[in-house]
Amino acid sequence: MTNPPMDEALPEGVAEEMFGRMAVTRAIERLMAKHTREERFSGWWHPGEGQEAAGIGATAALQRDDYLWYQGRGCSWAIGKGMAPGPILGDLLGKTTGATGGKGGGVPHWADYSIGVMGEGATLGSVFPLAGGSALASKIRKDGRVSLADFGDGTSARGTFHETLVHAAAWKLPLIYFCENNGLLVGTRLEAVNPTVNIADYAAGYHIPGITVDGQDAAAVYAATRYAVDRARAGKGPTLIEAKVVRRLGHYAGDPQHYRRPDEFDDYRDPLDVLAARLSGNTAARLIEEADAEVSAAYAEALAAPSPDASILDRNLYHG
Amino acid sequence: MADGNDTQLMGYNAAMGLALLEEMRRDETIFVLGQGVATGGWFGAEKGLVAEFGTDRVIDSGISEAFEAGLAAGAAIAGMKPVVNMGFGDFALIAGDEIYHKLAKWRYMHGLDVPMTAVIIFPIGTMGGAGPEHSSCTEVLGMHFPGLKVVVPSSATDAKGLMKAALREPNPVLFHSVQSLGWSRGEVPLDPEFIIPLGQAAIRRAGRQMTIITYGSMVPRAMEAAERLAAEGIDAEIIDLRTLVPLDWDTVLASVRKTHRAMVVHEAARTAGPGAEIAAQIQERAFFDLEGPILRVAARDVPLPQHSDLEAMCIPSVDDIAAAARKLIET
Amino acid sequence: MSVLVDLNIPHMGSVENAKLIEWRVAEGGAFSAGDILYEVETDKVATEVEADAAGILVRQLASEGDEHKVGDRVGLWAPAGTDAAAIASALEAFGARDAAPPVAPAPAPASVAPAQPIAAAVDGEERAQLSPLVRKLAREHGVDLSSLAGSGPGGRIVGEDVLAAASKPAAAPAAEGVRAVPHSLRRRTIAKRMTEAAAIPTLTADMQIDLTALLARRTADNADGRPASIMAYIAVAACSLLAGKHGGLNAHYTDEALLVSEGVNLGVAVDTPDGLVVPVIRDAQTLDAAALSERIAKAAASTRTGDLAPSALEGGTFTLSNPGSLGPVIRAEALLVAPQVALLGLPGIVQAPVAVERDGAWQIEARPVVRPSLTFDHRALDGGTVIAFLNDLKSALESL
Repeated sequence: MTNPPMDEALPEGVAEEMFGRMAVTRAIERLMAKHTREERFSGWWHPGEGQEAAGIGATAALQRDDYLWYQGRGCSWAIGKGMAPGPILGDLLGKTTGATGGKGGGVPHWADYSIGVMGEGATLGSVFPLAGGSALASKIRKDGRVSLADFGDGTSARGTFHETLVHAAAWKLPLIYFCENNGLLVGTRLEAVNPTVNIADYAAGYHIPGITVDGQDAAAVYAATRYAVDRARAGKGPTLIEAKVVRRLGHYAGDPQHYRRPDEFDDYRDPLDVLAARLSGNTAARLIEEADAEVSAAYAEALAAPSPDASILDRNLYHG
Repeated sequence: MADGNDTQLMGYNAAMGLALLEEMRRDETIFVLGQGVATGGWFGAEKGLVAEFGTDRVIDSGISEAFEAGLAAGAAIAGMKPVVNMGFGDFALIAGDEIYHKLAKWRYMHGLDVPMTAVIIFPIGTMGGAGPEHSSCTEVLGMHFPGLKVVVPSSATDAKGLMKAALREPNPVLFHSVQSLGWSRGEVPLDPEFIIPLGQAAIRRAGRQMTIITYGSMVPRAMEAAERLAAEGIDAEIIDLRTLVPLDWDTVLASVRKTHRAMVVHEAARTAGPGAEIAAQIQERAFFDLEGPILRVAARDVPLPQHSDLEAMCIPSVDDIAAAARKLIET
Repeated sequence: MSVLVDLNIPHMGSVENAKLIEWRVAEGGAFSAGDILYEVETDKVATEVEADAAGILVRQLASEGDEHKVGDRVGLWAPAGTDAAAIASALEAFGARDAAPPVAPAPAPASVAPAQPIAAAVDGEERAQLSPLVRKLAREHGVDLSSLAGSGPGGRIVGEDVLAAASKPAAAPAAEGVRAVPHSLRRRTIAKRMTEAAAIPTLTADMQIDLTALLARRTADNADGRPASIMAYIAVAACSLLAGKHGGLNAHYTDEALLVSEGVNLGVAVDTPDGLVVPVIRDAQTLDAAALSERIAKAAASTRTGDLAPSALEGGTFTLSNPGSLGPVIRAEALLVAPQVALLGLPGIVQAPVAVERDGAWQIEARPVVRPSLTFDHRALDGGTVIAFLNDLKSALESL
């Protein structure tokens, strides 16, 4: 399947902005890898190293009030949409400074409606009807907002993928399906459970465009997402984007990864390196240094912050 | 122009529809979605809505219960007030993740103190031969997954009053409409501000010797049983819970402390049904006011047979209720 | 028609409850007219029931100690001379020893397992039959469940049984050195009446009466063969005033009206071993001191021997109480006999120092003195009215 024609150009400043966020994301990844090795961590951290370009590139093409429904690993989507490291780390460490007040752990539930970070459901595939719901809300209100559902290749097998897309396509909802295809379901190869390794193939069945992009290239992801966003805002309906990505680490921190092939990472391209090629001088190095400092400070703050007491247990059950 | 006292004789489903009409008029963030709603609804509750509000706000969906329920959560999170008619309470199980995880738990998981209005209409219970997968009473599920509110109206008036309350509630409400009462009629208030607050039970019949706690389809049957019992000299008090979450424990316990005998009657199956929780809490909180055990009258623990005669054997009849009451007095 | 006649407890004035104390005629025994058949105790008095005619007590249906109401059937008798065979067959037709009054037998309940009667004895095995409510109420009211019979399904003890037992005086297990004296019916009735009386808003006015003149008069009457007690003279003076200008004290109080009586039905409080009894002397204002003295003595005697007819306790309009006859009590305030509005109490008569004017100067002399107390219902009477009565009584008695 071929991609529709897209504008590949990256507007001024976007590359630098994306790299800065990607550097912060990577700093958190490195930090969490170390932290989960050396400290007691509640739950399981799902590392996103290697897949950062997908989240950073896609969110760069979204507006502040567009709805982001993310799922899966790492924190590139939340950082990309504008969340700060403080609430992210606070939740991972179970501290009151976290976005949820300290309830979070391995499966993040960071949310900030003011910047369109709508949260994550832990049951893979719950993202589809939720994003369909916010897309329908936008259509009824005619508010011009777009909803993006982020998911992994394995999750595309869920019935909710299909139930939502048939309606989104029929109703031309302002919805983007964004698949991060790393070819693995924990340790199972995608081809063992799917008739195709190209998730974008499904688009034809729904009579919507399917775009395949190099998920290690943030600029390519940005372009594809911009196309889908423009289409959605113009009332033309949903788009399915498949970003081919590489999951550099295990499914969870501590995963021995016996399922890996010996040559698996021979052709690996670090998304930081790919994007850094678009930056001049020592911009990349400077941004990495700033990111490391920012994350170190946020980490220290999170470590020092208090843990919630039992009163948090009854909070947010009902409103009013 | 309706004044505060005007009422109109109408059916239970029509009363629900009137509530939707009134609320959709005053609040443009409310929309209705479900299979067949734009054609008036399978059971008539949505009749006339599409004519007034159009298909922008009255939306037919395909056969995708998980999508319908998950959409309700997503739209509610995005600031709308969706009303999703799931068609049958049985389909709660198809949409289990969406209702009992997403709707119920989203704000808790994410630490959000924000309003979230969504009404999921579940038509429940037998309707005369719909079979085991279209006749279930699933309201107990809403009691077990914290974060939802659960109502079961027993009359046309309550259907209207509770629907309006649900649409003004800043929390998701599972609205279990009762299939066997769908065309039962009552004098329904036309006042557009007539609302029955959630969490308030109604004492349908005052009595001294025993408390019958019930809701939904069993309210009219319990009332009929009470008339027969009165002729035998047994004076029963009947409480119609109306809301299961939050449950009006004050009314229930005050009654049991007065009568010293209690039984729960519902159409849902017996084992681990709502009656089990109610009986457990009564004996925990009013043990020393009890003259005897708390009885439950409920459906047989079997998948309901499809033939309507067999089905009727499985759910509590007026005779069953009266017999249990006599047993309660005689124990 | 049966030859057997119902033996019912006769109505006795206003009493309702009657406890059968003792049969005086055995079952099958013969009796004559006027013989005492049984003794019964009511709210007001213990009394004996006499036979109206001769006969045979064919069957005793009530047991000694049973509580009944007036009018209840307690036995069957046959008139003297009734054929023995007729009696026997009538008895057979009557049925079993403890048969209920003849009614249509209740239809047997269809296929119901016989209820397990719950033994009154409460031990560990029976614990399961006591409901939580019963156990709570027993704890709260200090009721011993082993002493209760149950009125619930299958004879089970239910909450009402515990509450009923709690409202009765309990036969409490005696502590070391303590003896429990169960209340008689009379004692319980007195307690109830006294509690009611204590709720009435009363006051008491005292007056000092010099009895010198009265005692002189008494000595003279005694010498004339008309002996009378001091109390009688006081009573005559009081009744004369009550039947005359002080009729307002000779009345019953009701919410609607004060029921003033023409005649003075004088209640005379008599202390008996079993409590206070107040026999009534009707139209006491018609009696002189000697006659009244005799009537009072007779009433007191009858009360003590238990010969008093129940009607003799009814209809009092004013009561005279004489605790001074029992000992030198200083004051004789009393609780009213509701609905009467006034009661005159006589304490002990004493020789007291009294200031007396002689030749224009005051001197202290020893005089016989009584200081009666008039307790009155302040809803009906005011201080002025009462003091006026006492003034007139004093004047009357000091000028005898």
